[in-house]
Amino acid sequence: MHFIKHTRLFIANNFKQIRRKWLTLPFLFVYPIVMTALIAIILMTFFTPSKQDPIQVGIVDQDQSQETKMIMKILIDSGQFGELFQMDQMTASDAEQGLVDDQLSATITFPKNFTSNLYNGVSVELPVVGNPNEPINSRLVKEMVNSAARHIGASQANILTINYYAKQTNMDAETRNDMLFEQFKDFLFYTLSKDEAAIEHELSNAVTASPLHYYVASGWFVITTIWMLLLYNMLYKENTYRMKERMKLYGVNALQQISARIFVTFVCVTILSLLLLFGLQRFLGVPFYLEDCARLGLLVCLYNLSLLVILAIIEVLITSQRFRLLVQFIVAAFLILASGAIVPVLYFPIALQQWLSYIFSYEALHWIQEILLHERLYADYIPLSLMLGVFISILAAASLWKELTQK
Amino acid sequence: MLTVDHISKTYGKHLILNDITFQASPGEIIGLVGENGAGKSTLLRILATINKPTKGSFTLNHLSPTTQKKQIRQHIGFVPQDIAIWDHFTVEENMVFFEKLTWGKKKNKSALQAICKDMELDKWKEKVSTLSGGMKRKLNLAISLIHDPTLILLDEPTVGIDLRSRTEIGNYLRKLATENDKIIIYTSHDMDEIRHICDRIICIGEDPFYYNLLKQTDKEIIAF
Amino acid sequence: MKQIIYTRMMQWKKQWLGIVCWSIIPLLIPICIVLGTSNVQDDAKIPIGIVMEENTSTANDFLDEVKSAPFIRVQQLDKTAALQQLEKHELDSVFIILDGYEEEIMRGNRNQLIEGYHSDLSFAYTPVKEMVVSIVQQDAGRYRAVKVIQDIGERYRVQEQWPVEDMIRKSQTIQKDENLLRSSFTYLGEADSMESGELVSWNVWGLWSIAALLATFFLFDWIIKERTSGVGPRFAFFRMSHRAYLIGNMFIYTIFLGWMNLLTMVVYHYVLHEALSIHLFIVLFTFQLTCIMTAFLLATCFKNAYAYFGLAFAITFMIAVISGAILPIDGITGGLPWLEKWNPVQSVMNGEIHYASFILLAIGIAIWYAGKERLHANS
Repeated sequence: MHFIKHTRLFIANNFKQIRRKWLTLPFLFVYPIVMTALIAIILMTFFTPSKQDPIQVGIVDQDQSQETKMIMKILIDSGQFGELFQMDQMTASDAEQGLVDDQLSATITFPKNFTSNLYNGVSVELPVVGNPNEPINSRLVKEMVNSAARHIGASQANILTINYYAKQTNMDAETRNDMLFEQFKDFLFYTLSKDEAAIEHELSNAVTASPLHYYVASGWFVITTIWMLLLYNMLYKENTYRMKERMKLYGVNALQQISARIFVTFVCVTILSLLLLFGLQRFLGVPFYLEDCARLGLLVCLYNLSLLVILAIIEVLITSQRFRLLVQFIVAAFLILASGAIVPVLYFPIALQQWLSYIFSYEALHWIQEILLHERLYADYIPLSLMLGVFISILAAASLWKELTQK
Repeated sequence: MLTVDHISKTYGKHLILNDITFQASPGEIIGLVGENGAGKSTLLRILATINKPTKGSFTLNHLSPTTQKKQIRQHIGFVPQDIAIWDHFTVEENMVFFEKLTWGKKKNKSALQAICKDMELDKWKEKVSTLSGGMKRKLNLAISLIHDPTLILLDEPTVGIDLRSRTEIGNYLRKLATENDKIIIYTSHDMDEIRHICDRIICIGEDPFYYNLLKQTDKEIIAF
Repeated sequence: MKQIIYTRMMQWKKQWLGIVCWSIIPLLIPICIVLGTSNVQDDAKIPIGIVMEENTSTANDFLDEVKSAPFIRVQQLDKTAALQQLEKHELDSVFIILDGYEEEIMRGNRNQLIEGYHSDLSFAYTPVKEMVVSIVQQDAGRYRAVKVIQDIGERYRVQEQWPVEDMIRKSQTIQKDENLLRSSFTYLGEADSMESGELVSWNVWGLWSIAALLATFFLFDWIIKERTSGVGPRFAFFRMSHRAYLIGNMFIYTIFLGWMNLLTMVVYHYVLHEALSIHLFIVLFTFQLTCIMTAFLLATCFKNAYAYFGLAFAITFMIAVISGAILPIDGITGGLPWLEKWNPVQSVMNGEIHYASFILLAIGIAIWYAGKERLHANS
């Protein structure tokens, strides 16, 4: 009874504290939204290279053979590399200047004797020089050249095989060379039309599973997590030694104060995060059912409570303020990462994936996504509830242990 | 010689000190009494050059706090009411730490230890957090005396400590004033202590209670 | 100054654990991240589904070849299951080897032999498709060459038999043995070519600078703690002004952290094979100074250490995001050159000496120093 009475007192106290800090509150709640939006924009621009601005690539032909001239022409004229790359032929010095002036992202050089070496089976290197100021574009060019080199390598092996067998016939050298050039052209076009090998289909999942919805759900999850981290710590107040003694005399222990803080943070953040979620739903125009609200609400509650209890456990175990904040931050970051909100879990190593179902943030986001994006009508609350139970027991034990060991 | 000349202090519309004027000469101990909030601490802080008066000024040995703040501070020892020492240091470390940063001639460890011994603070190697309240008060005072100030300002130096320590501090202050020619101004709510140690008493504030209480003594009382 | 050093050492003696921790942490964090992620990346694989509509040796060879690719994990399923998993986004993409694959390949025909499915969340589809297509292309190309050689044989009436297997093997050996066309990649102005097969490559100094910024903030909490410790009134009676005392201490921290920078360089040289140079030291040290001045000015504004730590986190996190030390940010800063100019972390990542905010902060410190002493406002 005492426990509840004291906790209630501290809850009222914490709400007062929040009201007194009204000036920092907007910052506290807006900051995570701004940061998450910023990260989302950065990730989206990274994964979808802008099509309006093709990557500028300079190509230098130092060989000047019939074959390289043809390659140049194909690279420059045909839209072979989509709208992603814009190729221009130039001299070596212009190319270098272009890199210095940030006009080019990368240059590709066809070295002297490129063709004759290829025909004779001498290994050839295609140097790609990237612009250090544009590392990602440079890498894209490098990947493109790598893939082209793989194709050309295969074609070339075939041409050399043809050459090998042709030499065994009585074909004269000139005819053979002409034939090789013809084959070179054939294989080049063959390579360039490689995409015909596959018929491509894009599957779009259920209506709600567009990347936008996926990102919105993840972003919302991240924002909720950061809110809890911030608000919980804002309510923290270091009690002086004398104050602690006084509290002890009233029969107040640390657990009551922590419980009050968990409660206040939980109530504020849960309300806000559900409001944000419904706002986003409305904004995105996704149909929404009453039962979904109840399921989502329950999942959010379980997740929020679990996270807060984890933060509290860290608080009890670590006395140094700086170190505690760092650990809380790292744990929150780990939970966000493990939930799959930033990188979908299917890309994780298989060894890690086996352990994910033991991490509550993964469980929570998984079911939230199932309901929100895949319109599932069911969620398994048992693992989350069990984990929450374990966390609460740990918190109670740690807090009591600390109380006992302190003089 | 300390000359206080018509000092007034207002915070916003509140008049805290009104036209305080007095003089004090070396060897003299002045007690400062008055109810809580009368302005005793404010006056001490003004004399310590930590706060500025709204009106009026003072001089110490012909030094003015407005133009010669740095020089005048070298002659002032201020003992704040809250204990201002490092909790994580020992007595020795505290003394050495503040000795390094204060003015005046360098003092070696034995000289510093002598200051402590004079006021019967003998736990030289002990950590401050393990000291009793009285010991902490003594250390708080000792630190303020390291640079040999001529004017010593004490804000309730004996609050919350036992009679023995209180007597020891009182005796020490008396000795300090007479033997070393210091001017000592200090506040207290203990009228026996005030009557016993002080040469003169300054009574500030509107409440006549303290004035009436002290009327019977043979000490000179100045009321503001 | 001597006194300030002496008294600071007295403080450090009591706080050595914290000081050591927070000066070592920026050194350790990047090492942990770099080594940790490279371990995880070795195991991180893209899950794809393969559906075999025919069970011929060519089709099986194809499957084996796809399986041998280092960066993917292949699951063989039937079409319905595969597409279902793709829809639930349990697979990145699905490739179906269509019926008649072997026959078409042997004819040298490689068009439309494979069906590829991906969803709008398939991050890795393009590189996987490139690889799958290149295998098909390779197999079909060989049979195409076989056809050409057979034509030549017929036209020149070669008597001896050229077995198809020999021709295929010949082409395979040439490709394998001679590795004929390679590409090398260097950045402009760089001597060695760097080949890293990793999806994420960290900028070590970028990571270090983020950790160093946070640690510097945390190391400068002494300004708040000393001022609020109750010793406050004594600062007025120091032989130097409180500001001079703070500046002197900042100087000591600067020297100490400068040595830590040097140590970091040496450790990274041996552990992460980073280059050593005087220029790099100047880059790191100016960055360190920028951090110190920021932490210093911020700490002088705060009375509550916890709030200061909170803001330190917020600032560090924001700088980490906008600098691209953690997230790739090329696309954004390209349009905002001023951001790059004012962000000290960006300068460290580019290996440049940072001036803009350094100068601004130095002016800030100068203004703060010249300003009015406000000790009396402490009461």
